[in-house]
Amino acid sequence: MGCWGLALMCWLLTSAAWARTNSSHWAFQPVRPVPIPSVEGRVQTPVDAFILTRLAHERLTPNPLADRRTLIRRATIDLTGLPPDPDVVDAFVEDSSPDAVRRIVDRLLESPEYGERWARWWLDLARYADTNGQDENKVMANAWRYRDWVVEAFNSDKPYDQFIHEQLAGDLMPTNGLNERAVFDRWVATGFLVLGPKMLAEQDKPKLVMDLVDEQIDTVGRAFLGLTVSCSRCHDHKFDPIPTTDYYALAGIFKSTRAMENLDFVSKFNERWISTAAELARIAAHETGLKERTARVDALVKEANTALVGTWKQQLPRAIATTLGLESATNQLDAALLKRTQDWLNGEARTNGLATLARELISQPDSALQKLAALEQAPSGVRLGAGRLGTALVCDGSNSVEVPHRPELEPAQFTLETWVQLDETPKGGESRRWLVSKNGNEWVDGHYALFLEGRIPAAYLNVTGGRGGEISIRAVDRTLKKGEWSHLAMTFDERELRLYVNGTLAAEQRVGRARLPGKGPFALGKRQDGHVYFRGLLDETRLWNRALSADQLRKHYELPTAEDATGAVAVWNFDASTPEERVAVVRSQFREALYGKRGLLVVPDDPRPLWPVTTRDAVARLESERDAWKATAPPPTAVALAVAEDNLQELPVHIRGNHLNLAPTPVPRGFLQVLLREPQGKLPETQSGRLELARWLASSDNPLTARVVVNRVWQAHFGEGLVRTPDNFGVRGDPPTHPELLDWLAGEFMRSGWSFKHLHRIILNSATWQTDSVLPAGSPVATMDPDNRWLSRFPRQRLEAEMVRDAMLTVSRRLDRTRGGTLVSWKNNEYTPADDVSAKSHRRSIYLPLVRDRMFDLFTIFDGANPSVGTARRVPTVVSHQALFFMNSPLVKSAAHAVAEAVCREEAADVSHRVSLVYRQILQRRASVRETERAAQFLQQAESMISNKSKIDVWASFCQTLIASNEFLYRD
Amino acid sequence: MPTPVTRRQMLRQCAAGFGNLALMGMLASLSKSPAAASLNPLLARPAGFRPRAKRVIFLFMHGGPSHVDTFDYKPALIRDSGKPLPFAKPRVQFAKTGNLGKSPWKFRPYGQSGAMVSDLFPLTGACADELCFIKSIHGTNEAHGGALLKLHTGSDTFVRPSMGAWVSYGLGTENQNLPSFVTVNPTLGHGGVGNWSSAFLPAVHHGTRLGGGVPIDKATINYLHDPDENTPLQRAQLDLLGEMNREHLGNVGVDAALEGRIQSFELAFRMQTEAPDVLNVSGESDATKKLYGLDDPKTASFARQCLMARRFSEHGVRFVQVTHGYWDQHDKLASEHGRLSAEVDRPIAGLLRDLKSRGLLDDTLVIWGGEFGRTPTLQGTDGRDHHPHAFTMWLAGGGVKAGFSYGITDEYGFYCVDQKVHVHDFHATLLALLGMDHESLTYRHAGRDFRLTDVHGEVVRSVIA
Repeated sequence: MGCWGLALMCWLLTSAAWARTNSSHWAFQPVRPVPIPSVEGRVQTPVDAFILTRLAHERLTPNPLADRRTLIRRATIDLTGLPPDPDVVDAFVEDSSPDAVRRIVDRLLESPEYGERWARWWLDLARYADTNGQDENKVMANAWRYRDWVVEAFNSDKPYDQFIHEQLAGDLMPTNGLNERAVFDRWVATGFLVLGPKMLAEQDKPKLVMDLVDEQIDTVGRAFLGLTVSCSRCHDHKFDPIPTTDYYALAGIFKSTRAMENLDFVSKFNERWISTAAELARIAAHETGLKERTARVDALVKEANTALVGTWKQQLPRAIATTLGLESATNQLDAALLKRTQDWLNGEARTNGLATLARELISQPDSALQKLAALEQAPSGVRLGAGRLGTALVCDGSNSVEVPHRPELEPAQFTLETWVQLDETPKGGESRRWLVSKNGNEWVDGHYALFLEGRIPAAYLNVTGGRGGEISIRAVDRTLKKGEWSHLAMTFDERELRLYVNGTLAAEQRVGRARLPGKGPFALGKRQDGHVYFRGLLDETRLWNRALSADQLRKHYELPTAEDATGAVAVWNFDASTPEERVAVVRSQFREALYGKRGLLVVPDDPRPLWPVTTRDAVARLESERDAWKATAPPPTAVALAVAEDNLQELPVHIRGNHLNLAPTPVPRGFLQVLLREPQGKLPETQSGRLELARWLASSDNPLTARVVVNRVWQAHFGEGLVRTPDNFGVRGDPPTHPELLDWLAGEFMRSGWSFKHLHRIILNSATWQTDSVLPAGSPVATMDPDNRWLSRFPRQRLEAEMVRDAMLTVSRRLDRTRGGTLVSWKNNEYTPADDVSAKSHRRSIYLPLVRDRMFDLFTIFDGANPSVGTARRVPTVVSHQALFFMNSPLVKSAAHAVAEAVCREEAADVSHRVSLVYRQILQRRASVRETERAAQFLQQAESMISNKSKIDVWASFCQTLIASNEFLYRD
Repeated sequence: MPTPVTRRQMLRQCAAGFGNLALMGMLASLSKSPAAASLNPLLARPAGFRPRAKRVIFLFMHGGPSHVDTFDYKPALIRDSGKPLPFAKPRVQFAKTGNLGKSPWKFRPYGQSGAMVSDLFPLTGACADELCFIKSIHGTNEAHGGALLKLHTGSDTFVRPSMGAWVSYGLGTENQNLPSFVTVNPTLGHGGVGNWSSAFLPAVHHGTRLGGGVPIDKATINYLHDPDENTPLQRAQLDLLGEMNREHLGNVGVDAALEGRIQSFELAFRMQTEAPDVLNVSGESDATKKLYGLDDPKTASFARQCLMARRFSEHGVRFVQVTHGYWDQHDKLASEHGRLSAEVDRPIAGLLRDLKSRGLLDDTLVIWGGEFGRTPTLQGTDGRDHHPHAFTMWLAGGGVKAGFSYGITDEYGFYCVDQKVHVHDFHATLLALLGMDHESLTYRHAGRDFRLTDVHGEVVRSVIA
């Protein structure tokens, strides 16, 4: 970024001499003690003395104080982001005591809503979001912990210096005396460094890391120092005395910090476990308890089912005989079994010929039971469908074929090939699907397998045995298409492992040694030891004792014939071409009918009605014990976005910001030289230096930190800061309108122990903040001070986006005040689903999921902060889309409807009483006589226009108009 | 203008674009003073040459159509098909590719200019004499997300405003009842909104999304429609609202924002009538529908998008983007590129002819292209990988040279060798065609003046007529 035309020239210059030229800039001077001017007039806090002095100088006089109703609405919105409760307004208006405002300010600062409003203010700067945005919009499902930490920080009035320490170096601060929870909370605070948008699929990984470091430097520089430090990535800052060496001194600190968990193809942001030992113990104890209780239920259920099925197995021959009319019905037969047998024999078994077999089977009653039992051991899963050649094995995710081990299934060099057709795109935990495999799983000696990862063909080979002995290769760009036959082959020649897809080489890896053989069975349609997930067809599976050549495999793909199998050590063509195979298929079918997934002798989905009553009751008792225990579950193990220390690195200047073009020597890690009062000590050899950076930023010697933050707070209260470029205190920023006041506030803020609440009190208790906002038409002030720089009146401000929504929910009494936690229902690190982000919840706006690049549209329409960039000031616009929102959005309509419903519920109220209720609810004031008359007229008119004459609809149309009014949308 | 309003307030509160408060005229008069002009972001700046285009239609082919299979004809690729690339591949590649592979399609010359176009685009090829090819576009990012953001915002590293937002910021809108920047059927992945966002520019320049998740014939602008469909009641509500707001304003005195907000409701009320008309293509003649391919299920979807683009342009929308995909053929190049081009060829040709016959092509700049091209070397047997190092875009209308080609790639189409046009240069040229100097179109944010072209970009004067 920035103008690198200067770069090469500038980074070569020694920076010190050059930097001094701009170091006399006001903002780089220490914050000096400022005397409070003595001045005539309304001085309620020292703020007024500074403001009045300047007003006198400009020959302006301050407006009178605002009326009570205006003041409490202003204070409540300023401090809590919500409109006041009408009852509280009434009480305040009645309260004539001189310290009424002071008390209301104190009360609002103690309300939990204060932290929610001011956390939002900070989150703008912290570019907070719940997803990564940029190229790969992955869900950051644990980001909310940082947001909740910020809310709590404001509510507990965490000193700002501490607030900085924890966000930059919470994991490095001394922990003496702190309990584990408090230590982990500090880790959560470092999520600040991980929250930014990252180019996760950038394939130039060193660049990804340096871009992330840059994003961190940019955010830290702007948020805490009000400086655009990141300009110096490519060249010395054009205006401010920040040389590239300063940038790379800082970059060394962040490069030595771990913010990415991995740098895989699509890389993953860093997270850390933050459950305390006690919490983990509670979770473990609960799980053990749950396991015990579940086991008790399971044991009893199993016992009951075994008894049930045992009876069935005994009675089946008679049930068949009865059904076929060979025996007469008796009530000794289990009625459920008889019904099931009838359904089967008269249904499926009649069409597939098994009924005949069943009849034969029971014709010799003596051996019928044994034969039926033997069927249970028959090969399972042999079902055939149309194949690539002849017929193929049909896999539905529940069946598979297993073949016992024999030595020829373990050739030293080998080729395993198969045709495969995929029926569905695998998702979630079952996305890895084994097609053909031998010897357990990939951690078992001698495991070899063809499998799919999603639709990506892949192969496993365990070479050296056991866990860690496995190698896998994937054909990432050769994904299978559903419903199409594909040919897969893996070859191993004791040097290379290769994977062929449709006859061409798709992946290979050098192994360079012989493999350790295994002794396990061979399986088709599953991982040999389980994971029966594959759905689709397998055909012409062959194993060879040599690595076939690419030419041979291409031929097998292009012109497959049965003759290709000549010479293979094992062939499964699933063609039922011999009598033995045909018998096996029939036996398998019969087995399926009796013992398969929905077999006759298998426990049905809900066996309860078939159990004896006493068993049913006993199971229910154990289940309720188990469920009661489940309900006491502690919160699950917690993970937070957080940084950790990484390898310590000092970075050379990257010429023109290019990570491939480095200066010869590294720059020692450090801070911005122009802001240092005394030479910076050497940073520790064992840590990144984040802690020292945080301490330097949050020190009272730092000329910028306190000034920048008090200016931001001032801006939040008055719409504009004393410095009107809150993000740029550098040479090119605006100078302060009231330099003495800025320094006095900065000094006072630090003297109070960096207390935000103290700062709010000084500002809100001042007469300056309490003046009214009226600017009469024709007043000379309009030309003398059009921008209201000198603050003779309070600047009227539009509600911020979140406040608009929260206010509508509040006045319609639907605001859900639940605090904290997350509304993100997506899985961590999954791609943000494509559904539009809506706000079905009635929680405060700060708790709605913030999806980068897909913001809730109300926030976009009302100038909410773009969560991909730190926002120092929201620019309020007035556009027609906002008007359309008030006219047509369901959110506004439903709020109006809710107010109307409440008003219409009032018994025996006349129109004027109802009108006053509406005014009180929505605008927290009484309606004037004129307003009441006008409302009555409108209601009459509306009634004539609404076809169903619904009273609530009529009133809702009136309420909507009030919600759309300027008075509602602005704080005067 | 009844009350004193400072320029600063006005700019802040009104900005440009969607529903700007009928204040363009006032701003224009304010900006007559030289000081004001330098601060007024709504006016086009003198660029050293006159504006050739007033508006833009960008036909974006998401996924990366192959340049060597469409518009960049390479006989040597046919000759050397199957041989290895005789020079080094780039340092960073998205996937591995093998040897050179010829295109499955024949190329043939079209029109007076004799431009070689493959059989994927016969109808567009027939318009070749209107087209200005740039065959040497190059970017930096080999992944979709980065490349999309680079093409749309100029940065694959940082969050920056989209080119449509810059154009809206630079020129405002010609129709206050419509958004100034519309994106039809965009992709929600690969940067998503980042590709049409205003980033730090005022939110009014943010692209208005139509479709992209819903079928294109259902797409509309949010909140444009009164769910109660009771216009008389809404009129009565607005009358009452106006009265209440004026009374409030009377009590508090002077406030430009409050005043502006009163007007914004009237404007919104009018928009409700005009905007849906523009979206509705059913009134077009059968001949026009046929011209775009609305009558053929294969082409109907993109035809509707192109027709909407023309209607938006006609009604003064400054920047319209329509997206089609997904041209990402790592395999099945022959069948999938074939299918995709069949979906867009007729609609594109139809749009060009329709604009021409309506006299709109003269001042409408049409742009065609993807986020990158594809490797002249094959991935597998029937695929090509992402290729940001050289690819083709074409322009039409809007003051560009017709029947012209610029930029030379090597004999295989792998790297640019002459008349290179970086994405930044493309942006600079786009702004120049609209009459803006890319170095002067700046926005102050976070203490710095930002540009669409960052510190780069050179106008490619050779393509300007």
